[in-house]
Amino acid sequence: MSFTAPSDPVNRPVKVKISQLCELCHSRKAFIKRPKNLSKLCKQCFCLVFETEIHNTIMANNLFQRGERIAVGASGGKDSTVLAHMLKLLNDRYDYGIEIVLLSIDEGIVGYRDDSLATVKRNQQQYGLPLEIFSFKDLYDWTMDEIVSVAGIRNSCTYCGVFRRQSLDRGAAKLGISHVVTGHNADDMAETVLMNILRGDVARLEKSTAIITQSSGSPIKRSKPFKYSYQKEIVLYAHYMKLDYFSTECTYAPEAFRGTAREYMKNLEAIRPSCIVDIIQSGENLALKAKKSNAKKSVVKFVDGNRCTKCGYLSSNSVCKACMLLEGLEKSRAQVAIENDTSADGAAKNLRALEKLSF
Amino acid sequence: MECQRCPVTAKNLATVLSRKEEFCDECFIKFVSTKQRKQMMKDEFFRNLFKVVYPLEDKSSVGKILLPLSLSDSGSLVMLDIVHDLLLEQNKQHNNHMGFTVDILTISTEDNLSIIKQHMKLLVEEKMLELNEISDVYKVHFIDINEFFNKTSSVSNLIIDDGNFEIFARSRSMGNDDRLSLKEILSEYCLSNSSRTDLTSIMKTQLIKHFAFENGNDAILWGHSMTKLSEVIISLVVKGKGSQIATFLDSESFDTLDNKPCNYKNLYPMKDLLSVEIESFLQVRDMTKFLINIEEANSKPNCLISKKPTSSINQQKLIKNMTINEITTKYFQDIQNDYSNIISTVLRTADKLAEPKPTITKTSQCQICQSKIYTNPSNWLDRITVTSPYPRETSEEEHLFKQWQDSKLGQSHTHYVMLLNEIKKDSINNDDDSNNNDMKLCYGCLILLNTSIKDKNLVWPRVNTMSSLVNPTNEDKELSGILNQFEINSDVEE
Repeated sequence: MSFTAPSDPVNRPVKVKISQLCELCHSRKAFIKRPKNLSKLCKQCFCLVFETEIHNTIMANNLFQRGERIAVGASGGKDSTVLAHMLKLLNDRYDYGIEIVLLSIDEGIVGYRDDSLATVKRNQQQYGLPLEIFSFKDLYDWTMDEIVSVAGIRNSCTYCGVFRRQSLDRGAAKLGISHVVTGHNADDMAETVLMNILRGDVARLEKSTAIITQSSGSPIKRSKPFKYSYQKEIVLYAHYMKLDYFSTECTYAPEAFRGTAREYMKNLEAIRPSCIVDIIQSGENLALKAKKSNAKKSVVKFVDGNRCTKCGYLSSNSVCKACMLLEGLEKSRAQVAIENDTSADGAAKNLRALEKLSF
Repeated sequence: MECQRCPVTAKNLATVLSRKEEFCDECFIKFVSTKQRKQMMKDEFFRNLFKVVYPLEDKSSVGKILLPLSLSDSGSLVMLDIVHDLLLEQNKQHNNHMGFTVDILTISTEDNLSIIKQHMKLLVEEKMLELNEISDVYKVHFIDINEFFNKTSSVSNLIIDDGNFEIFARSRSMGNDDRLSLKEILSEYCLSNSSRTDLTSIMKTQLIKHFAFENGNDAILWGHSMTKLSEVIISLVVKGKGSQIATFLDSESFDTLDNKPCNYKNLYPMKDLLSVEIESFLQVRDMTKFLINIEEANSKPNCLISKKPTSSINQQKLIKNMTINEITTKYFQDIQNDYSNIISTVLRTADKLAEPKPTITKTSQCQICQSKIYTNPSNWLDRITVTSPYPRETSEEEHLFKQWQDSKLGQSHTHYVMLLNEIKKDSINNDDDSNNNDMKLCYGCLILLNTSIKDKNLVWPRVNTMSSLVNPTNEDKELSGILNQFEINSDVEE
């Protein structure tokens, strides 16, 4: 009896149907439907297209100057991890000639930020980039857990947002860096445009889509290279590149109204995926009518580069928002505290503890 | 529960609860009318247009307004009712004289023409005849939506290059045998419900505006409520047409059509009224009978105390089957209870917007929606979208590519490329077209063509060649013609 070799189930050549081929190269099997336009792409084409689009955004807006030091706002989440990876990759590939530093802010949310900071520390090793961490505790003498225990969970995003923004600037200034890059993506951008219209935030309407924000009074500028990158594509890219990121959402509740706008955008995206960039295009073309001059009213005009009288940070009013919030917090701070008290450690810690439970 | 507006001595029972206030029928009608009239008297132009101007012999001071009436939309019907009341009032106060005439324009399709005419007959009998006996105040016009194609002498064949999103257009004149119809356009070219709705709505708006232009109207009165306007504003943003918001809401300047200035302004008299108030008004005045879709009207949310809406048909619809407009409407309905101020905030914010500064040297008009183009949409999209593939590396990949080329899919792509090259060549060779270098589409229409139209290729009428929408031979006898058609006794004819 002649010997028949058994078929090899692992290395058996896979027959690819023509309809399964990538819509760009037409020569490899498509693996994903691109969230931006639902075209079917192979892994190679998707990664190339995604990287090149970000490179094009950087070049078209002249984001970086040769020899510039750039601080990447790194939280350990998907956006900032992909951002750090991408900037290093593009800097090597296209020779931008920039020096990249990871800059992290520790808000003091036990069970959330400590875990994500561990991710950033691993990223530092993986990419060989320097890392600096600044904490709310050092800068303001408050942790987010303490703030939430005093001000309640509903306002958590207001405090965190104001303090984090300032902390990134202060951190960069301490490192002598004048350019902070953040991982804000197209979804964030579109959501902001919609929110500004829905809430009637006229002051922010025109500038909400600017890729670089800069003030004449501050040496630090901010930019968003992911302005046109879909959040889903960032996740897919991180997945294909096997990047190490922290995927848990902050446990302090996001604002309820923002949730409704997010849901609306999700529904729209289901029927027209391009709606996210379409909203950004609309946002870029929103202009305000010239204000009618009112001679009788003496209005204090906004002066770019105004400084806070308390801390000297950039502010449109005489006292900056952070100082105002801090003043409110100090008034409510407990006069007496229990030694080694951990009750202020927030919901995140309890959630982590629950996750570790097993039966 | 008693009405909060009635005098203390004669309180009526409240029937409507709106903006935290209880109204009786009469007070609610007054409340709604006042809101609309306030908008109609908002500036000198409109005040002069609507009021009775003395000496009465000066016929040029009689305003001529166009009221696009849709018998499936409560807004325009309520608007007509309030305009009618104003005319009755003027007639009484000024001894059989009125300050303006009303052209009512209804756009129909082949399917609904007969039912529209039936309902219009009812409306003519109940409302318009009475005043027309005194003077020719009302004229009723019907236009078939296919006139959009019939009244234009040439069409553009628009196509988008899928490599760099550049738009090419080839125009050709229309013969009688190659006329297009709405049905053909929607079924042959559109890939989604949203694009069908958008194109239909563009056609209707263009027809109405061209009619007003040709008919010499001084103003078009649109029946959009505050809710509807907010929905349109957000929809414009979502469709990448944010730059058009300021022009859309503009009631201060004269409109332009195909870069030519017009003699009419656009007005939204119902912009201070919520859609729930309009629906309730219709019920209070018992006017739902004029609508061709009574069931749908009854299912819309209202603010009546006793009569709650019947369950809506739309609630059962799946998101993926909805259009962008429907999703936006649903969003506003969902948030109305928790964030009631959003609707007015959106409109107030949009009213503060101006036209953006153009980034191109010469602004031009979109060949589909006729809106002004401020930026180069193709360049913008090309900058943020890469369409070149990762190179083929192995022989297996080469083999698969060859197979794809020979397949049906590859051939259909070849067909698209051939069509593209053909239109491109004609478009470049066409030296007569002085506007060849102009932008051809706005961003929103570029996206529509790129994502929801088959083969990214659409045939669309050239609106600048549209004419004879208003037929001069029967213009003066328009109403009487219709009255004859409705078999109303001959006494009322001129």
